[in-house]
Amino acid sequence: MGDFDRYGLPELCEMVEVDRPEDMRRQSDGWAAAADLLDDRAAIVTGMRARLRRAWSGPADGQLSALDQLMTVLTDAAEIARSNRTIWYGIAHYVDYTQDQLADLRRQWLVARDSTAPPADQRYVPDDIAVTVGDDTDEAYLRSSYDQVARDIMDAATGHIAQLAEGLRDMPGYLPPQQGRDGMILPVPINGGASAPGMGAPPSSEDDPELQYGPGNGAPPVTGAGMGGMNGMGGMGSGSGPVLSGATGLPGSPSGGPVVSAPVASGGYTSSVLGSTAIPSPGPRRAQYITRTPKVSTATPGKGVIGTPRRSVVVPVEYDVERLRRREKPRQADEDNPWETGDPTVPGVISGR
Amino acid sequence: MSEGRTEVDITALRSIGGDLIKAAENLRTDAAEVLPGLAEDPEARWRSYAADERNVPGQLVSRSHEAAVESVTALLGNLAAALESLGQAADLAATDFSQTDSDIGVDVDSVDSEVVEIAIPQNRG
Repeated sequence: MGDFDRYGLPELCEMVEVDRPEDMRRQSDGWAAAADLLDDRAAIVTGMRARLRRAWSGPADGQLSALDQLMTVLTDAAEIARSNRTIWYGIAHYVDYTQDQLADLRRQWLVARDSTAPPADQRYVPDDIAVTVGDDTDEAYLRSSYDQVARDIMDAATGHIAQLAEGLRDMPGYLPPQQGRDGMILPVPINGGASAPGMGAPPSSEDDPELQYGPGNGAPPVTGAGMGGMNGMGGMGSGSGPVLSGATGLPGSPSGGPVVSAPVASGGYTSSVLGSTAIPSPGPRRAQYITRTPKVSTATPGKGVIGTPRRSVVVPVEYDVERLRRREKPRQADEDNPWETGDPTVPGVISGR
Repeated sequence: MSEGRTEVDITALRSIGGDLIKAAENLRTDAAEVLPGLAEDPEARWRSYAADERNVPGQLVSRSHEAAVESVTALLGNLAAALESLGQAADLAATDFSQTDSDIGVDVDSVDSEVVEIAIPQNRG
């Protein structure tokens, strides 16, 4: 069961409309600034350490190891910040993409709905025929296909977002070194840290080909046939819901349905994931059941099983009836099963004499 | 306890201490500029992602991000404190070395140019 199974297109649109991908991009830029800041401080501390080494030759182990520790933390933290920046940017992209997809789907639905139940002043009603158009149509029923596609979009996008978010990491735990009363430093063990047990390597944009970003490639182009079966006036077919059979369907979407083309103006994000033309479905494919056994033909038309031409035999009705009359008398029926004579039932006997 | 010889450039050590303290101040200043960019817009009524309670998976993601932002805020604070502490330690050490402290067996060979060659016990503190 998906996370959005209870919701339809309108609810899902409401859900994503409050998201602000532009703010998320600002936040990802904040991560980049934090990474730069940490890198800058790591360079400063490296310089300080070299100066300290030159100024203090001898047993300065406490100070030097404290600076070493500081450099390690700064370096690891900068790497995590860069990784978080890439991930949050990617999530913002998917949020943007989802908003565009659902907005497009809603537009399609509104067109389809209006074509099914046009406003009263646009209906064609012949003068001499009483016709009711659309008033009794159950909107939820008509919308059900769109609801399913909306859920598929949400499930797919959320799957990718959750996968990306697994890479979001906290900064290494770090406590300042304690200072002895004579100025000597007592190193404090790093609490956790970037290489803490259970923490995977940070997915950097260089290591992870799925998290590359660069200028101008924009969003995954999802193009399709649009609303299959809909003519230019938005015809809805025979009223059995949106005519989706002609649509290619959302790739990876188990339900098929309308395909939306949504250029996303996020820009700047390219990845092998985002560059694909489809949002792959995160979940397993729905099982397909065969409810009807297909017919198996063992003979070609007009031929017998062994391939010889089948000869049709025409028997005159009079001849057949006469033959039946001349047949032998039925044998004595079994006493236990008097209705079983042992003779095959012949069609037409009952109606005869 | 072993005896070892050390050479301390007290002036350089003081300078390093001062620079570390200054680096701590700069880090606090810069962090105050950087951190708001990471956090949610204080004027926004909702968080940037998954503000709708029905978006349960999205809320988990948002919380992960917020935890990461909190962790970098804490880290930058601790890093500034560490730099400050190291700076103060260097300053104290410089002061300590500049004194001829017989209690710890400092043998001052030369005090010219404030370069002190001393012998101090290892593993102090």
